[in-house]
Amino acid sequence: MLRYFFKRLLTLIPVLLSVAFLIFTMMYFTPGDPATIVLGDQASEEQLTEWRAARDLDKPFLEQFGKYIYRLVFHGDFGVSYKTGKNVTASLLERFPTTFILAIATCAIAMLLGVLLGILAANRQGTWVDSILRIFGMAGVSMPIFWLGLLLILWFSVGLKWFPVSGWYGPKYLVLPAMTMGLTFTASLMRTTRSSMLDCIRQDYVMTARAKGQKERIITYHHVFRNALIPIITAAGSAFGIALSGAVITEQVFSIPGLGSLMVNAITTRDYPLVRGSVLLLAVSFSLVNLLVDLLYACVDPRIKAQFAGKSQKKIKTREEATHE
Amino acid sequence: MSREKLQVNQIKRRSMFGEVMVRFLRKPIAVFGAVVLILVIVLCLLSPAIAPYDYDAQDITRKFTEPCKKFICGTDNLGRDIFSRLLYGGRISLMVGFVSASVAAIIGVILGAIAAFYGKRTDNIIMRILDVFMALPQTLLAIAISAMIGTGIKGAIIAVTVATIPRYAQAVRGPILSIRNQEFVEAAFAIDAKDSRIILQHILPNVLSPIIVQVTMGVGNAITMAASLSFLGLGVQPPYPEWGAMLSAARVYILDHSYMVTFPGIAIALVVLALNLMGDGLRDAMDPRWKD
Repeated sequence: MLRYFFKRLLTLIPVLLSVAFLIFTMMYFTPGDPATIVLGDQASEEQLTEWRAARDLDKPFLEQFGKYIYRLVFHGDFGVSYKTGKNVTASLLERFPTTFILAIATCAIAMLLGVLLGILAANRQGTWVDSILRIFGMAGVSMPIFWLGLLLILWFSVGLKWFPVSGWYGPKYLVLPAMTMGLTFTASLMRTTRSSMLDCIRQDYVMTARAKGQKERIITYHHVFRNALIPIITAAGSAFGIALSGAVITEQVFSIPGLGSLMVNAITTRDYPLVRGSVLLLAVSFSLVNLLVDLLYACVDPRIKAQFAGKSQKKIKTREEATHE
Repeated sequence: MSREKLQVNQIKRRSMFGEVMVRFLRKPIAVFGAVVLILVIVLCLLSPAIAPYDYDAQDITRKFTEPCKKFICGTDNLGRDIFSRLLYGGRISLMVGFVSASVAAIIGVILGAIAAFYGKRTDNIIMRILDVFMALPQTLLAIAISAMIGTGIKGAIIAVTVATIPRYAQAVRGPILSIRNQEFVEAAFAIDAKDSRIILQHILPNVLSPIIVQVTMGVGNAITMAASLSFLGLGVQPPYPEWGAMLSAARVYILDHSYMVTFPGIAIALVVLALNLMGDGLRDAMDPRWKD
């Protein structure tokens, strides 16, 4: 298990290096000279040359990239912001917790509501409860996040005056943004839970459990839910990853000083080191969450765990073999 | 249509389409989605004829008019009729959605098919490259790309297309891998058919249904993504009335003139909902488990 974890961690390195290369290349070939953008049209040629030299921008592309990666890997240094001259790493560390808290709150809402409502819908398949939940789920996944955010502001801040419109000064400010993203992911998680539960409800072992007179509650949570967990975990994991990036939009709607708004501002002001840094940090978090999801599979499904525990040539047990045992 | 009748008539291709259509039409919710979508498309295409005003016709004297008989969705901060802007904007939003989803699907399916068909090193190279793109969440990737290529309708289309290609490639790769080793493909190899012929004639028709479902929902996804870009100020720019851009511009007035935010949002949500309902209906209609 631990070996698998480190193996996966190692395979992440080339992917993340490639992401760094991709982002670096994209920013490098973006039209417009950063020196002129930052210093303005009035700057003399000497000033421009000096500014470029100070940031290695006069060096060839590969040398620039090499130096960037070297500093990043060995010193954790993302460079210096063009605009403010502040260290990018410091800015990222300052903003990251906000986005992280928002993502955690979002996932908490989505997992709690989404899974419970999904189970409810599956258990009441074909009834009016199921129909209402299906409509809610469909509407939820179709609504753009930014519009839902604006509607929640309209209802809960402007109308009912329960929560502040925007900003980030305490727990009260977390409610609406977390609800905005949480409701969207609740809808998609609910749909996944429902269909995954329904797939399992039709299995023979559920019929066996019913035949031997098992309690309905135990069948739902012990027999069906545990077997339906894999797709649910996948959906929850991707929800967390998307919450990290959905934060880009939500933070803009609610004027939250997180990583996302830092990135959007950096894009509009062409502050490339800041853009590179924030995109990379989000990519790293996204990849780590995906890795954690894969590891969670093993905790949930003994068949996958057995695969990790055994030697690499050990073949994967099929569902039939596992159920025969 | 009974199965025996089909076998007697030997109309294989049409029957598949016909069967799917029959099953699709039996689902009222899916049909509702299709009708709404067609209605919106027709309205937007006819916007020059239907729209009561030009999308750019400003008149400061009538700014911030609440929805009324003359302006059914009200007017904005420059006195422009919101309903007309929604109609014209729908052309942009729908075009961005359909164009980027179909281009992404074509490129993605080709990449996925090549990867799965040739396997080994080709598969490895293509999928590793796509892994890099998939290391970023879609919206974030689209934002990063539009940061590079700049704003505008073209920029939004390219950003959304590139960001969604990996998803299509991944969606076809799995099914093709399992089809590739089946007897009819082996038979095609045995009669020395060209690779392109095997892929196009034998393999792709068998994975068509997941592709169609993916594309249907992908259009909705693309519309939302493009609107998000515009909302962040990175996609379609004013004065073009793209729905996301309209929402972005209306945000400032949310406290006093909430109708400005309401209508563009309803437009996006309605179209995306219609596409999702259609996609759901198509998936059920095409899923062999539902065949009666």
